[in-house]
Amino acid sequence: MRYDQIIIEPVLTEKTNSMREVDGKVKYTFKVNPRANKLQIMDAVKNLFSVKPVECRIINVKAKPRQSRTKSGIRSGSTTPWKKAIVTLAEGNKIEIIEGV
Amino acid sequence: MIVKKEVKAKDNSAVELTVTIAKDAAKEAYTKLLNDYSKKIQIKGFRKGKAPAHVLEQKFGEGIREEAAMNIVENSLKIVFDEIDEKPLPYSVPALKEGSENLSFDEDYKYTVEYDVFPTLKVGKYKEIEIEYPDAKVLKKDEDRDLEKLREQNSVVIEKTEGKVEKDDIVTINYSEIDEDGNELEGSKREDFVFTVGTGYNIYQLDDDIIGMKKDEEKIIEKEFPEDHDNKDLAGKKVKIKVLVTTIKVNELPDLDDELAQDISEKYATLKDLRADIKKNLEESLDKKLRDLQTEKLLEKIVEDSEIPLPESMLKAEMDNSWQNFLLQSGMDENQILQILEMQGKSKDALLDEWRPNSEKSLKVQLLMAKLIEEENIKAEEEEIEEEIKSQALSSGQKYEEFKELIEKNNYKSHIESDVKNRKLMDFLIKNNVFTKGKKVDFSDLMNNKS
Repeated sequence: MRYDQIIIEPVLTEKTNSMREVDGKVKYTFKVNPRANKLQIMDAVKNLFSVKPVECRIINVKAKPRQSRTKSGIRSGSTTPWKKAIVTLAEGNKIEIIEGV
Repeated sequence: MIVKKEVKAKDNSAVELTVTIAKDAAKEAYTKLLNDYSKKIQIKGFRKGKAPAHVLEQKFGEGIREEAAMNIVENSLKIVFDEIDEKPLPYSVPALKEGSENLSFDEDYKYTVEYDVFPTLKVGKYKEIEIEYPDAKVLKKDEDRDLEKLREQNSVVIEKTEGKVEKDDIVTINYSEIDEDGNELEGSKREDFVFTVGTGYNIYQLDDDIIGMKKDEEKIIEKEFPEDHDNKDLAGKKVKIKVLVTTIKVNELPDLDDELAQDISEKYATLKDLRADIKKNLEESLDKKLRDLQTEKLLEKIVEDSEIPLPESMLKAEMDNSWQNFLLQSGMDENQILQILEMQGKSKDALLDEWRPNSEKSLKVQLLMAKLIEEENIKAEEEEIEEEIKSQALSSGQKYEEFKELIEKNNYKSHIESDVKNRKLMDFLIKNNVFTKGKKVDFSDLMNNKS
């Protein structure tokens, strides 16, 4: 897998925004390829953004069932499952292009 | 917040204004706008109003900067216009020329706007100007002409059972075109066709041929039309027309006597009264016409002598006004008019260009009159306004009280006031200038603008 295939996009929410500076740790959250593992993700972050990752935690966001009513009865499906990665960077590191976006 | 302002005058009473805003003020305005937005805006991933300002800045910084710049320009212009003398005209929108987007916080923000101001007039000589006007008098023949018109209006149409068709008679005829064998040609037959002999209002121009015919007489007329006849179907043809005269009517003019005068209106007892009234009316209209001519010529001369710069926006507003009037008068939709113009191979712009000289002239006269009223300190007194209202009510046929109420309701009082002022100015100008009689002109020629 190429690095840009591993990191799909940063997750930008109120929560991830506030996680950037907690207890002196710099954490960034990404949506990543479900087949990537922690080491691959850290490697990708290191090379894509030229920073030094220290830790990586992974959450598999499960698919949620969803129903939609149509003409021919109820159609059931689900949302797409995805993999969330929270990468902690070494102190003093910063990813400029994500910062504040 | 305003550090520096510079006003530079340009042509056609336009003005270029350069304003410099302190960088702190610019920054303050920007952060204020940013904070305002961050309280209201909803960004995906954040609750409404919870997105921090720096997120907003990163996402929409460019747009907010522009808006902040526009706000600064707007607010500072308001302040500047209060301070300086060169205020913009109400219909002139200050156009931003420079510095719309580069709102940077490192240096002072600077922008330039251009707008039109009320023109400063240089009034030329407006007293003791010699104006020549045509010398015209109401003569007896002018009265006679009007009397003749009245006679025609009161004429009676009488049927003639005997006698022949003469010129100016109203005849009713049946006619049809016939071929060699005497058969009627289809489609050419007309019945009960009415026309006045001598006017030529019929296809075959039968006027001369009909004269002398009797009632119920049938006649076959042979006519040859020249190659260049107006009607293309008939040009260069030889046709036979069968004509039957069914009725002959004659237009009988009433005699010029006291009875006619009484017929026209009850207020005339004799023909003499009628004549006197006609004379009075004619003389009144002549006086009015002469006064109009005098003032028109005088104003033209003063305008020629003065320097009146016309701002483009003012001219545009005036032309717009006349366009709206034109629409009102025609009573049609704007789109319809545009279509008609297109069919004639014209456009609205071309039409407005045609009007341009006229608009310029009338605007100049308006500006000049306003300036002169100011210069000569002409004021309209309460009583004079009252009087004007009375006379206008009289001429429009409304009751004084009703008319006054209407005026007060619609705030027309200032219009009336300016009417009075204009009239007083005209009186003043006529008094202070010399009018000499020029060459003699016939009354009717003058009234019909032939001279």
